[in-house]
Amino acid sequence: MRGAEGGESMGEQKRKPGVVAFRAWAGAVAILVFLGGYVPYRLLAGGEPSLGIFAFWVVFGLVVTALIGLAVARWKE
Amino acid sequence: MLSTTLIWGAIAVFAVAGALIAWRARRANSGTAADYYLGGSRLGGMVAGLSYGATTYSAFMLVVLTGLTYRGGIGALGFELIYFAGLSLLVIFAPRFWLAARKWGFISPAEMVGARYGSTGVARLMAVVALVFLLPYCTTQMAGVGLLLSGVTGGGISLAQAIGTGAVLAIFWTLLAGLRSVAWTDALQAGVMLVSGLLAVGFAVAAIGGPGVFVAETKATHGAWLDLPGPGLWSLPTFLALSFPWFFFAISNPQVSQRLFVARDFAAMRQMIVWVLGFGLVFTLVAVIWGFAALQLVPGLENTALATPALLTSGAIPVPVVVLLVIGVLSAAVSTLDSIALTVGSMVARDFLGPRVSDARQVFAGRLVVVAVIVFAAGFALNTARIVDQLAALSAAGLLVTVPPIVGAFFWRRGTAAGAMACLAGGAAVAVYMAMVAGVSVFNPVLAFTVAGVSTGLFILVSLLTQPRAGALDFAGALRDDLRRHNAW
Repeated sequence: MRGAEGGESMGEQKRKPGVVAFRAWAGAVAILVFLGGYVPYRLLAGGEPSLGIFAFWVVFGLVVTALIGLAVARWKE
Repeated sequence: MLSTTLIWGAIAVFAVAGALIAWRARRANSGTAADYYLGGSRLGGMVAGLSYGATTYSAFMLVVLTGLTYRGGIGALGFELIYFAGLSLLVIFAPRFWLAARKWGFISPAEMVGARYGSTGVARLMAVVALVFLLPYCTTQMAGVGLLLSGVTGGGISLAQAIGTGAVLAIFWTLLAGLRSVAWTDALQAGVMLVSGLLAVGFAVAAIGGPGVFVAETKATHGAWLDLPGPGLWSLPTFLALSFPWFFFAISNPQVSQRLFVARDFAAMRQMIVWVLGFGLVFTLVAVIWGFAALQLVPGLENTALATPALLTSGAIPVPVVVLLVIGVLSAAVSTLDSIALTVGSMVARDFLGPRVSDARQVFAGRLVVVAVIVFAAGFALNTARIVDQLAALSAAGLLVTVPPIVGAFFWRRGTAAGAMACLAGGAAVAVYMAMVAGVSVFNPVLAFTVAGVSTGLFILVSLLTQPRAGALDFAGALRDDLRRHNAW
């Protein structure tokens, strides 16, 4: 798959701060989605009844909102 | 049980309010196909966002998701929030869909993908895949309305009357002014859904004794529901099986991806996404907390899909709030149903008749399809058919086959029409075979991952073995400067 800006060499892409920012953002989303399953199922499950998993997923939803909000905030008219 | 007259009265008020809005929306229509199916692509951010939210968050939320919470606990929240995280795909695809539609005048997402590969066959096949998997999904919306209205009135409103009411509203609001009336009534309905949901949850928690008692009681009596895999439903494989295909919902489901064509400018598109995020997160929490409240107030239900009607008739919720929430669920179903019907109508008008046909005929054909889709959904909701139930459950996994050609359209110049068709046909055939012949459950992750793997593999392999068509568009190259100008990734 080509870069988000399509059809350019890796050298050109590396020089662009937008590409670096995109990779950082996409990486953050990928890690977050992975943690969205891993943390509740592998780290929080099985203890005494608590609101731990509920609270984790609420925070997960807020971080998703913040990440998407940050990404669309840079759009220009 | 609630008074049947009271519910009919509330539905009448709701119908009149919606009709006035739809009628007002009609005055802005110019009669072109783009105007009818996309509102002239001049929608503001708030209306577009609320319409997107009402279309995405259907009767599924307060009927099925609440039922899944009641049956299996907190895993339902995680599943829905993984879907919510899939809205991050909008950051990448919303600007591309919008710019492509502006540049080439696309009306249906299938038309856009077909043009990219230089093939009307791709567009038609994508439209057929959407029809096969979305029409049965419409029946579940109708069934949800029927279940709720007949449930809260103890059968005073029959299943047929309830389904007929939803069908008439959806048809009327769609026929009147197309996307403009659908979007404006969606915005009203999103407001009703959110306000009614928040009020209902507030009263339910208060009836239990307040937030502190609610949490303490849940820990004491249903501690397993706060844990994973809970009382049994939410094993990790089930969580993956349901979450994985839903993550791609924002681009795989044409009734929502078509919304990416309708914003009037980039600022409106950004506002649209912000509204969807806010609405989605709050409404998800409402549906799940409502399920936990039902565990306390109406424990021991065998049919968990009845959790919402049982809680509404438990006496814990004041009657005005009950009536408002009933209208909220009706809103959720109608807003999803009319959007799907309109999108399917646009696919028939653009992908089968084509832009060469006059705008008036495209609109007329779409209107016929809208009626046919809603009548189909109502008919099958009344006369349950096993094949329709199976296809409805399969819709999320089945529509996954549209993802590789859409991603390839913008990011892989080497993708070809033959590859896209092999992906769509092969992937859909595998999905139907596995679910309906081999009996693989949608709760088994093997189904979704196999469909995704086969469709992606076919797209790549067949594309590499064939050549792009001469008329294929180069989205990546043609949109590059516009994306830079808008500072979009």
